[in-house]
Amino acid sequence: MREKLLALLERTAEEVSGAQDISALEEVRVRVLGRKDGELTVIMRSMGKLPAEERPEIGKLVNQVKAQIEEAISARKEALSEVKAVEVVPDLTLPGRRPRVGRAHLINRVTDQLVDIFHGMGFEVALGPEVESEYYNFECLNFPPDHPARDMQDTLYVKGGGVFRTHTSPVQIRYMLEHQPPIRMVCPGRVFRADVVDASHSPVFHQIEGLLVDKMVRMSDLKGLLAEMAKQLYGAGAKVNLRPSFFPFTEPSAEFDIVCVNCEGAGCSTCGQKGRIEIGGAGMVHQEVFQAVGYDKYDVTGLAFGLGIDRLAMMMCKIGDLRLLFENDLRFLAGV
Amino acid sequence: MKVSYKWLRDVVPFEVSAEQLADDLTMLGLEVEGLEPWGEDDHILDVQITPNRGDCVSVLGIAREISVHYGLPMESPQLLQMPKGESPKVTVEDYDLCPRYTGIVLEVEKLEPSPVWMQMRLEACGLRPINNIVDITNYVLVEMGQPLHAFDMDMLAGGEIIVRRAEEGERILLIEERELSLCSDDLVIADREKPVALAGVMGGRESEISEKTRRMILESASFNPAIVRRTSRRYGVVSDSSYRFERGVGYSSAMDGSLRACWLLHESGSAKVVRGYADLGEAPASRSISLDPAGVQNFLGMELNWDEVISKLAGIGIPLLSRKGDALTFEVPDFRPDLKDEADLAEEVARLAGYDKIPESFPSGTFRAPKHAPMYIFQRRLRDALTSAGLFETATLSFTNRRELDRCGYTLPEGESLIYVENPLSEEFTVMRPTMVPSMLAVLRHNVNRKVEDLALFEIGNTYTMKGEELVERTKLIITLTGRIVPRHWSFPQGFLGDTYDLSGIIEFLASELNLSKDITFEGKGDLYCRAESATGLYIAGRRFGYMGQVASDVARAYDLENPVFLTELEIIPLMDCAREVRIYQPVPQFPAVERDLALLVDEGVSAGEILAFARKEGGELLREVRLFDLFTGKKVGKGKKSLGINFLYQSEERTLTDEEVNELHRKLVDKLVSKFKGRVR
Repeated sequence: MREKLLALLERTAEEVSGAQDISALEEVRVRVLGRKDGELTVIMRSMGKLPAEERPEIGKLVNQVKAQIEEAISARKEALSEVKAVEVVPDLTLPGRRPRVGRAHLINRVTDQLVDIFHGMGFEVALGPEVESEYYNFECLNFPPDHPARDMQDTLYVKGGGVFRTHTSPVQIRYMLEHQPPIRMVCPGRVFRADVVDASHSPVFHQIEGLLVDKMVRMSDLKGLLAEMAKQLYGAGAKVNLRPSFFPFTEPSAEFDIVCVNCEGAGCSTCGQKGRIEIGGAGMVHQEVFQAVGYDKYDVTGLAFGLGIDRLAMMMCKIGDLRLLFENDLRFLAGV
Repeated sequence: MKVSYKWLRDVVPFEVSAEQLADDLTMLGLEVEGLEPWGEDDHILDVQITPNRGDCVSVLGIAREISVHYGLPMESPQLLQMPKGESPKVTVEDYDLCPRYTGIVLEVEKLEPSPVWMQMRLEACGLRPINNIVDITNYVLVEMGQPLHAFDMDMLAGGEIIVRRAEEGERILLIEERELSLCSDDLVIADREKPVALAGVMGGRESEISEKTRRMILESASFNPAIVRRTSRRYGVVSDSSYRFERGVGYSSAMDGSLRACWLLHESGSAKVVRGYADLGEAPASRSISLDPAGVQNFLGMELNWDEVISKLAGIGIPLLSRKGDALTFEVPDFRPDLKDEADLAEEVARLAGYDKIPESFPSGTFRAPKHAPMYIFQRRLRDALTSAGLFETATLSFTNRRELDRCGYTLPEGESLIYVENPLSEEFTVMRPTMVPSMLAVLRHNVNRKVEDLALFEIGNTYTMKGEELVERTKLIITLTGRIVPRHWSFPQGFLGDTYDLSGIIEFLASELNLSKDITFEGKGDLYCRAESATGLYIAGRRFGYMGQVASDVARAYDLENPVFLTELEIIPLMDCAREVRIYQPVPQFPAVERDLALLVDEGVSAGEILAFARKEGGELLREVRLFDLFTGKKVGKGKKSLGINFLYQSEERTLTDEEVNELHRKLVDKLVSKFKGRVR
């Protein structure tokens, strides 16, 4: 019995150290230690047949052999798993799991960018209703009735009275009625025109306008302010260009362009060969407007400007068709 | 206005190319929108004239600006010597509506096509040549900006002209063959019996120049811009003439234009003046504006060379009248009604000096800490939270229509009605949206039809309804989910379809971001503003501010959506009013927590939310958290029953809890739950 046990121990030890993988090792374990008919199990079961005086000694030996085999198996198992861990390298080229994060609409991101630029220069945001009275949308802004200036903005009317604001300027009026100068404010928002949807028109689009009223505001301040905006949008080399224009609510009035950053004014496809990108309108606040809000009693002047956010966003991201902004294809929303 | 480059160069002898001219005009405020080659050696400039510059809607008006800009002389047009003799009979009833009316009789000598040079100039400027007489009136219109009209004198009853308001219901057949029924807000040119022209807009068919015309009356007048505009818009009749009158045609231009036309008619042998002029209306008092040079320099923020400014102003017809102390007084010509005060003159000064010469400065003055409107700040906060939750923001138009609202099964709130667009551009955009649901479902359809099927979107926008007499604009948030919430990935090829709990999870997350976790509740049933498969109301501080749930499958199918669609639309103001800016620090627990699990068997109808809320309320201050970790129904628990696995976490801020006291607390709570919800512990 004793010899039998020692032989089993020796053979098993060899087999364990010879096992090349976990399953081979498992095979050895089952054959020797298996509960049903493992070789050692069978020996242990047959111990009952031994004479009583031999039993304690053999019993002790059986336990030792079992412990040694178990230890050898477990050591080998560990060794084998270590080898395996080194050998099996995960395929790091498999696509990872992306965190699920969405995106605000481009129009709102550009709006916020502009708001932040002007916030840094002391401007605060004011908001107002999208459906307005003709009084706030036109009359306070020095659009005389029956004047062709009204044709500059094809107006959508509300059945039963009121207009869909054609610009965010009425917010400036409301703000001035509620605040005393000095004023620095911007008003972003949705505006409406009677335009059929096409690649460059939409009945709904977005504007941001700004207003600064104080003692001794100069037209050169307007240019400086817009130049600062251009630099923050397009980098330190950006330049603005003012051109004479007409708006009923400003005098003098100007269109403002940014000299094309791409061709520096020479004309290229980005600027449609114009050398400049038309950004918006601006000017010095008209006295009629100050009168309408009761500011004529102060010794102040003011500057105002406005620009189309959608168009600016399109230029920044090189989007050729306005409709893309309102179509809301997820691939577009996630792609810009 | 379309204008020929060559014609301009014939008036002002400049040397620059058409491209350069276009740039220079643009910088003068006469924006050239288009430049096209014309014929062999000409270009057409499409000049966008702003509504204040009626004086520039003519070749000579534009040439005047060019001549001053380039410092070159300008050729004046040749006019007929003022003829003398008996005048035709003209009556003007209201000089406010017609400040000047000139009429002169001419005998027609021939009616034939115009000479080629005139036809070419007219065509270059976008006018169709007709015959020598009509063409000359059009030529003067383009050249000088003065609209003219020639009447066949023998077709005028009584051979006389009366400028008067139309009578209600009076009819006129226009040259363009349209018959109108007029009203008293129309100004007409009439003979003794009937209107023969809509003043400043269009002539009548009957008195038009024809082959039979022997004598004609040439009208050159100045009409009130507002009444011309009203008439033109009322009947949708827009002409080159009405376009100019709306922008203002000066007093002196009327006679100059007529004399110019007469000269051309004479020179070409087309017609001959036989008698003298009728000239009605008084010359307006001359106007002047004073400016303070130092004040203008301060206002513009630029130094100016005043000698140059004064000479340039004179060049565009604004001569210096006097210089008194600091003030310069300028005369304003009658063709510049847009110049009213010092700021208007300041613009002319800046324009002539060049806007590009204005330096850049930074506003000085008072600086106050800016404070944005709360609604703006709040919307940014919402956007940050929702995008961090994986949602993409859309921007849809603010319009919808009845058909779209019906498709969704939209029902108006009690006492509210829809707002219609008075002048919609298409059938699609007739109603201001009372809800964003149709816009959002259309966005889902657009994407799903393009095989983009996994969508988690939101939008913040206004909706509109009429409540009694009051228009209500509500700012709302809409969130919608359809398709997979966990995308397909090689490690999880099927992904995971979203359901209602993804949506409610987003709302819970939003609540937590706004520090409103304990304030927002889901209660009762709702309709989602569209037909719903199942829906519940969203409440804050006892006020319902929206709904959430699943869109009815027939509605979803109407939008080509096969996967279930989950949607919430809620008002922002109640959220904004309650949202908390700052979170108060809750001490991090120092002592270990003790957990207990409970499997509670209750009737299927009992809501989990109620059980959890009851446990939180009754658990005492040591109960820190209650969490549902398991839910199942089926054979194992019996029909009509459900089993809830609830985890309770007990913790004290002052000491380590003992097993015994937690057991005691927990047992009491379980007893309460069992008796309250008639449940059983499994």
